[in-house]
Amino acid sequence: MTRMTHSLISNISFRAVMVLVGALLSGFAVTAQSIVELQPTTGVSVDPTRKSPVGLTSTTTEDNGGLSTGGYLVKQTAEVGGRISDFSGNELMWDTLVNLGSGVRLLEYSLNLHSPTHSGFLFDDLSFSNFGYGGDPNDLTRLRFSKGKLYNFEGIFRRDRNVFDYNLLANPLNPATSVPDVPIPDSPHQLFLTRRMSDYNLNLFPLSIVRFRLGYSHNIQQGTAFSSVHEGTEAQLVQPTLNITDNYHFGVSVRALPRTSLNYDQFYTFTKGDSASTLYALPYNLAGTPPIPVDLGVSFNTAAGQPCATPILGTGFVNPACNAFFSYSRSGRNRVQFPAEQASFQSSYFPWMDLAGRFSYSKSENDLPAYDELFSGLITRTRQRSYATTGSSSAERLSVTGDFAATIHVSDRFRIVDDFRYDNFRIPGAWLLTTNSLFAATLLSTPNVFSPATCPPPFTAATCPQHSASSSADVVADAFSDFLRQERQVNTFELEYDFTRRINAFAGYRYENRDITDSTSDVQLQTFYPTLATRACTGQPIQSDGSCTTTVTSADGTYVPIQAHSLIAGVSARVTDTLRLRFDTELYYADNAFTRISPRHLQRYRLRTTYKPVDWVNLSGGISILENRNTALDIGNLQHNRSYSIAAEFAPHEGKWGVDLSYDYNDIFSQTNICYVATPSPAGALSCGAPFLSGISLYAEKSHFGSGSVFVRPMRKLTATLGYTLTSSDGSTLILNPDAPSGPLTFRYHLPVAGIAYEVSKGFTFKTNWNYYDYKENSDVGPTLPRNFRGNVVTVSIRYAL
Amino acid sequence: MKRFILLPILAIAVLLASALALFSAEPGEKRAAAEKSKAGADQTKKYARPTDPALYVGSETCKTCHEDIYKNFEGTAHFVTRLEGKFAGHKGPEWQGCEACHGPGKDHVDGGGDKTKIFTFKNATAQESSARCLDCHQNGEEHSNFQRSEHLKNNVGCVDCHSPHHAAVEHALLKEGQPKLCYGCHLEVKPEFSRPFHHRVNEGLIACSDCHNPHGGFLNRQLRSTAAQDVVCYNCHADKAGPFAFEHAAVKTEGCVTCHTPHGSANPRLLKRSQINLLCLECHTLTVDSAAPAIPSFHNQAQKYQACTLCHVAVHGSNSDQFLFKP
Repeated sequence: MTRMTHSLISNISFRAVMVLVGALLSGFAVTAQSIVELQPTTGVSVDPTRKSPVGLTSTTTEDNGGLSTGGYLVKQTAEVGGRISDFSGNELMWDTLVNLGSGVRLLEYSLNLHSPTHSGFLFDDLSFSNFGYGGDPNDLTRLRFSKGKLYNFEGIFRRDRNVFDYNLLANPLNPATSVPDVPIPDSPHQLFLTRRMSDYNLNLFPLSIVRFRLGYSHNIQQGTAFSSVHEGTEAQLVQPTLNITDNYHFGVSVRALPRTSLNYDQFYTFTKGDSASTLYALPYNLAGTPPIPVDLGVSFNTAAGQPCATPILGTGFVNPACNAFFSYSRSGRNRVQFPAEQASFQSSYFPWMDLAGRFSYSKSENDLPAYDELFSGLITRTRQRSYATTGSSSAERLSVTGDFAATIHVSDRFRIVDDFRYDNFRIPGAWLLTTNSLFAATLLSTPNVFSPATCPPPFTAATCPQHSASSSADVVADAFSDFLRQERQVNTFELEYDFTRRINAFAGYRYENRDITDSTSDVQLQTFYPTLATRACTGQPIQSDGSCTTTVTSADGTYVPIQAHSLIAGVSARVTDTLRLRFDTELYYADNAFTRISPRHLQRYRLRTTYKPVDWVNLSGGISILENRNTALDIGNLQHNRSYSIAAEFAPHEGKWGVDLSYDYNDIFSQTNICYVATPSPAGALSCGAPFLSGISLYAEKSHFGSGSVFVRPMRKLTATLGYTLTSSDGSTLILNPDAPSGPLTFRYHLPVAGIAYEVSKGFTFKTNWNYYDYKENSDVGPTLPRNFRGNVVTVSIRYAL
Repeated sequence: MKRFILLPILAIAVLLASALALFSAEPGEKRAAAEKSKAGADQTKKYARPTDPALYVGSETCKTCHEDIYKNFEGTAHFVTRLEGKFAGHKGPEWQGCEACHGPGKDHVDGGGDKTKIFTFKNATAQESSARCLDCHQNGEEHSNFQRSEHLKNNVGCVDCHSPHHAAVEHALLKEGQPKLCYGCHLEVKPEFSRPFHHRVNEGLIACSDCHNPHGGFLNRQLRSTAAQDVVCYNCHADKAGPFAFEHAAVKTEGCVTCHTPHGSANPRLLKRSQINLLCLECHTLTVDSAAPAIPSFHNQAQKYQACTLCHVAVHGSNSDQFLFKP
């Protein structure tokens, strides 16, 4: 698949096609439509009708008969209006969690065409739905059309504008005692990205003996991301981001025998990552004529020597002996290909046995052919004044998976189920990078380039590169390789029995075997130029030009075998026609774990119940408990996640009122033994090998969720809705940095909503909706800006059914 | 600790008690089951379609009594069963129209609308009703695992979510739109999506079925996967998929849920911890038990270094740096 073809296909604008279709079809006259009354969804400012990506239609209301024209029954609705929003508090938090601004909106548009005689020219049924256009952070367009047994097509376009700035994330938490005091009010890792995702799927002859399917997906993530890089100090980088992923799919299915289907699918995914990073700002000045812009980084803790003990001199200029950046850039265009082949089958040919299986192979390749990195500044620890890194890297992911499952119907009540999965992936990767560095004592010193002419014996001249004893090599050719492999087999064996028509149960055993291999090897050819050529080149001869070369190799490997066993069981009962109960559990044990927080023991319990005393009342409850632990020596990991929920829904058929209530209590807990370094040491901390201290990484979060909504329809033309959602969380965690607040662990998030809909005339409904957002953290702010915000969004619209 | 031992004992006790109670069905229920087995309507789980055309009356006959239902049926995707197709996989009246699901209607019509002579989904078990649907819908990866799915295993059949005649959502004939349909049983999930940082499910951008296959699958939690059989997250977050020259091994072996709670979290980036250094320290700590390298001794958590990702930015994997300093 050539890149030109990629570009050609990806440039087909799904939205342009949709606009064209909409324009062609909007000429049809349409009929009136009743109000669709639904419970409001708190926290979102658009009617939940338009929220569902499945694409609600209006076909269920008895008044909406549609208009017959051109051989089709046509129904069309649209809602246009605008939002008025205002907020106070942290603007970027508002953008991160809500991001609704003022402006005109196409809140919703839907068009449905149906051929009652199924004799349409190109299609018998068409459904086109949209929401959110005009400025909302989430837009969606969905188009479906089908023609009898010939084909069905579905296309969806989604856009997500993702603003992220939670200011405690990746924040250095500069203490106020630093000189100067440089608080970082925002997260150094802000994101301003837009993701556009298009998916198209076409099924040909869906009910035939031979069926074909074609699919294409186009996923673009574009925008600006902020990041950082550590070179002595941590400087903020700006990254214009453009990642494009195209996925192509072709499949064919053959109904070879009755109740048997053989399927083959070919996938091809191509990802382009075009990212480049540069230094975001140069906010300080070094003495010079004119002053020289420089960046000291975002981390300011001068007591800890960050970026150095005295970054700003009494003159107001930057200390030239401090860690700093003059410039930084990094670029690399990587391309990833994922071809994948999949063969699968399903068969119920024998009435007493259902079979399903799938085999998949893929070999993905990641190529970064030209990596470029340039740094200019000063890393005081090594006296590096600049470096340039070039080279290439590549990696592959080879994956083989096989699944096979069988359900044997021993009798009408008794079934045996077995499910086997084999999963093997290997990821070999490597890079070959060459780094050339220059050294000098200060930011104002010009680094000397080594040459025999300017650095003659005894290799101590001032024109030689000025190293220190801790300077790294002048030239490093690094050949690194990495290999990660996991082979996994899982077999689940279950017995299912229907005791009566109302009660059934299952019990089973699952065995899992995993082998994980992780190894790295690194060969570095390091060349040290004078001065101090022997600084890390011990035992190697000095060359005639005064340089010294050594080869440094390192290798590491880990092999972790894991065998796990699970008992699974459950019972389900329709106790009466109105009461249903379900309970299931899993008890898990593993003899090993790959990470310290992966469970070696796990218990899961889930209990769900629903009670419908009358068909317009639905009461439900649920308990979900997950307990896991890894109590191996030195780990002491205990975790649980317990959730207790109840819900009640009242929706009488007359549609004059409805109530929806729910409550959930969630208890999340984790503790793990850790060893860390912190000075001053927390009181009572024990040593786990100086200078490390022993502690317990504790995380406890208890949250309450309450949601209620009501709608009333006092007259046919008027509907009023009211709702409220409150999420309240309290908790505690180990905090090692005294400047770190508890932050998101203790918060309240209030989301009331109210709305009115009035049918002004047949087919026209005036709607107004008010959403309120109140996010507040009940902790100290920390050395950043407060993260709280409040905001109102009023939406006014006209909904009409044409 | 005590809860860890007590809970499984209680669970086993509940299951044993249920089993003992259930093995002795009510005599009345046994009698009813026997009568049912003699009835004309075959309410068994593995439905064998009678192929004798004489047993079928055609959907037009059904329409004479069930006009409202038929009108609704005309507008749904199931109506294609009434259409001719040259290469149709299923031919014959047993695959067409109303009788494709409800079985042959002649006895029902001859009995003056005798309800015991026709298959009714309302009175069927989840297994029985689902067997009817799966007879057509089982082929294709979307539905081929439903027999073994968590839903059917827990007595949630096709008609618990779908309504062929009274659908509120035309596509897929759902009783209710997502996510509200799923919240009806999965109560603990609804509050997760209302947490401050969450996937945009309530906003309508993503559906539960984008990540989970409600009809079952080969993976736990009925999760979908990418075409390369990797975690479903990479369908959207492709830039994190790699493969990378240097992998953060736990991401690939344990999955994204090692560090993230995908539904929703109080913590930014849907992380499991509010203090990111603790999330890293729980694995990268000086201990004999971890494959992960420990943090070096100069990483003083009280003074600086508490924001691990300020330096180690490429936590999902790197093509240029084994310390994950750079992507």
